[in-house]
Amino acid sequence: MSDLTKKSGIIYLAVFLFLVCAIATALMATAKLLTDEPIAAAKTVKTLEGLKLVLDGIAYNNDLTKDVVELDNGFKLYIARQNALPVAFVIEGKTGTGYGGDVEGLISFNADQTIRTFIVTKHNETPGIGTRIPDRVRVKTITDVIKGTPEDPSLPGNATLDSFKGKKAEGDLKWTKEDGIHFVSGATISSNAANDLAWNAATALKNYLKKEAK
Amino acid sequence: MSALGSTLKKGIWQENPVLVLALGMCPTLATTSNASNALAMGIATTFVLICSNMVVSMVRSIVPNKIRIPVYIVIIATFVTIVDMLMQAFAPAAIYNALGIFLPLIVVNCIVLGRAEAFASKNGIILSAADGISMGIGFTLALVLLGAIREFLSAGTLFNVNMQCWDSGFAVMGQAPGGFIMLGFILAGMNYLNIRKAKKAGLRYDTPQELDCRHCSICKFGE
Repeated sequence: MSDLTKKSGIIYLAVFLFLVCAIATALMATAKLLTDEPIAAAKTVKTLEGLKLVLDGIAYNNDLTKDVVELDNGFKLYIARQNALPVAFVIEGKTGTGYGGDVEGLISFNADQTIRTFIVTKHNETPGIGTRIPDRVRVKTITDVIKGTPEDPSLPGNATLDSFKGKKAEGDLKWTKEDGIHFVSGATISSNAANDLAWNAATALKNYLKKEAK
Repeated sequence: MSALGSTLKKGIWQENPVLVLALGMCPTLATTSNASNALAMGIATTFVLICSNMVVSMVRSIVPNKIRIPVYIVIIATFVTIVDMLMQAFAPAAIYNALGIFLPLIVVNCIVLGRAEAFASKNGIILSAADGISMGIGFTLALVLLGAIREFLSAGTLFNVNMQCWDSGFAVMGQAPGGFIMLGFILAGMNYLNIRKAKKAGLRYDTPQELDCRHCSICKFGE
């Protein structure tokens, strides 16, 4: 018995490890409490910036933050109106099917429910592999850098995200490669997550508008 | 001072974590398809490495030997998680956007754990911080070198700037096998330089003594 409680005994070790874990948990819980509010605030700012990006080129004159509908599946629908008439929709949603957890995005739709712009606002995909799906990276050329050509302010392209442009949720089957969606080999899970998110958003919008029409 | 100086120096060439210790191959191969990713990964790791080395060095005398590895893992994982949350809350959005996705990759990074075990658990706080700085810089340099070569060969760009040499280059370099191949070439080149240097001095080149298996304490559990 005395062996077990000695400094190298199993009970001592177990208690020590338990204490370390308890302290670690307490520290993380404190950090979580401290950072909850600032993280939420930072997220709101990011969403507002994202809304501007996906609605670039559309004329609307309502306050988007007041025209929000919570959809059944947890997605948020923002309605852009010009003189009270809806001109575009934006869905903010997330899917849990990414390689590193949730993939969150903003998808704007034209008034006829076709996808306009798709941006990913938060993801945890593997840098260099999965990030080819969500990241929009502008590639400059060395001549531009030397000449100092001013940066193009428009949204950089992305083969996968841009391939959803003009798509509309019809029927019950998700889009596939045959529908022109650009899947990246080596990043299948990330590609599927983007497809999931876009499809769920388009279906949610379709269901919402159908319900409204009734 | 000389101990501090040599600790600061050795991570860059003599004991470079990627090119000599061959630690942390997973983030190395994944993030070096592009030089900017490699740089961001290097900076994030350096920061975590310095802090985790200091914390581990502080608690080294009270942690029982038999459970030191789980304790270090808990410390490092807690630390990285808290840094992630604090960065998300208080750092400028541009910094979090650039480094945020690399933090989860560092939680179980074996460079961080390897240095905690091999160095910080046996040395004081200042030396351990110096070791973190030097290993971090060595890691960053190795990653950026590998990333720049791979990015240039596979896409003709450097730090996302098109060098206008070719449009679609050597595609395999952008994939994981290309990473292994390039890493092999760099390791061979480094060994060649070391051997040549030793020969010129009339010596035989051996691996540094502290990298020898007998000097590693990871499997010495019973003592």
